[in-house]
Amino acid sequence: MIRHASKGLAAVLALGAVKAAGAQDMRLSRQLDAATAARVSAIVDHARAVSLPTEPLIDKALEGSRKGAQPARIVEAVSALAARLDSTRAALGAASSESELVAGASVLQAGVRSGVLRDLRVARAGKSLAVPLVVLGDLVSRGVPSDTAGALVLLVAREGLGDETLLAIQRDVQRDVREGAHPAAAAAIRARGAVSGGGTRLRPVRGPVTAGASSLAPGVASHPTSTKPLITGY
Amino acid sequence: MKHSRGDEELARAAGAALRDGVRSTAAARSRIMHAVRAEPRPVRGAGPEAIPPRRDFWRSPALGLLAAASIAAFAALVHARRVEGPIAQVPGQPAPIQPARTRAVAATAPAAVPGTIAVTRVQFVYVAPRAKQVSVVGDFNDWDPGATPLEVHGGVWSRELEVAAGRHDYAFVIDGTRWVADPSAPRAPADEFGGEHSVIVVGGER
Repeated sequence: MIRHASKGLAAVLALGAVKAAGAQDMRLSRQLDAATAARVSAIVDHARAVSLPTEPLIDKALEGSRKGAQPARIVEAVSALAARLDSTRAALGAASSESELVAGASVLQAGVRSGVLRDLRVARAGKSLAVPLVVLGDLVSRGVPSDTAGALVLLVAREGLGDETLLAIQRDVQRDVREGAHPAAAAAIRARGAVSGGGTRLRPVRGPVTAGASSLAPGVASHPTSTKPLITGY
Repeated sequence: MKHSRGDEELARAAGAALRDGVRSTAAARSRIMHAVRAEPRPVRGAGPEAIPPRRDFWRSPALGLLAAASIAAFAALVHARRVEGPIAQVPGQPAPIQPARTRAVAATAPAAVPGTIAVTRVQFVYVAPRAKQVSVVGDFNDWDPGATPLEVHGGVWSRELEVAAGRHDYAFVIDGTRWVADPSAPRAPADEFGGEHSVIVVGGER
């Protein structure tokens, strides 16, 4: 009797689980047409089945909808993101956080090689890669070639410098580029300055920075001040 | 208010009379000082009439720490406001919609208690003196431009939101149509839908 009841309960739970997995997220139903919502839901279900985070996929669909993207483009973007999340997880490991996976997927889309992700994981074992990957994505978006940006972030990570130093580098490069510096040169100078200076912060580069060996010499822009970022967080 | 010449003369005469009244002779001054020196010197802590012992406020570690923390917090606040500084106009923009500062207190947020979702109050700020409406959109509000309008004070649009720990993409929407990244925050690489947006990592990252 008890055994039959247990079997019945297990069947009900299993049915519920299947139904929950197949249930369409209400946000998708509200925001997308039925066909697009169904296609996105199928991708989300598949991602859930292989233990990938699903929320970023739903966010991507909603973002596309809010920006007025065509349905086909939304489905394509969600599908591509799912693939990148999978690649990122393969590079960073199954224990990676959702933030790391999303940040990693973002830099892969920007052209960073998955080998850089693997190396970063090794260089910062036991620590979150969310901030290094955000900084890496920012550098690429500001015009630093993806290989250069990857190498520089890796250089900083291997030196054991923390998130605050990376954020300080990001802000300095942002300011340098805004003031006319060459993105790659600015990033190289800032990263090398942080590494060579140890616990030092960089002196702002005045005027345009030109690319070339001389401008990349260690210590060119280093200055012994605080490593703490100007603004906590960003 | 105008004074007559008579008033001025009267005031001068009154002042001279008052000064005359406090004049003293050398003998009188000597007697006074002798009497003062003859008085016993007060001793700290001796009797109810004595001068109370000097209270060292900082002797209490708790009070000292509290005071130090308050001073540090005040200094940090002043510093944070100072680093925001003047906000420059974005080159090439027809309207003086200017870059903004988004402040996140995320870096100091405590780690999440297991089984709970850590949230942190994040202040989003955008300076747009001529905008009629500014809102923030991101993965925390389903990218809905109508969900989180900012409040304006003197052309500065801002709002504090509780944001869950982790990495978030966001952007500002100006007058319901123009999506812009936060110029003071890290940018996300361009995605399939075009337009730029920014990234924030809130403390206690998951």
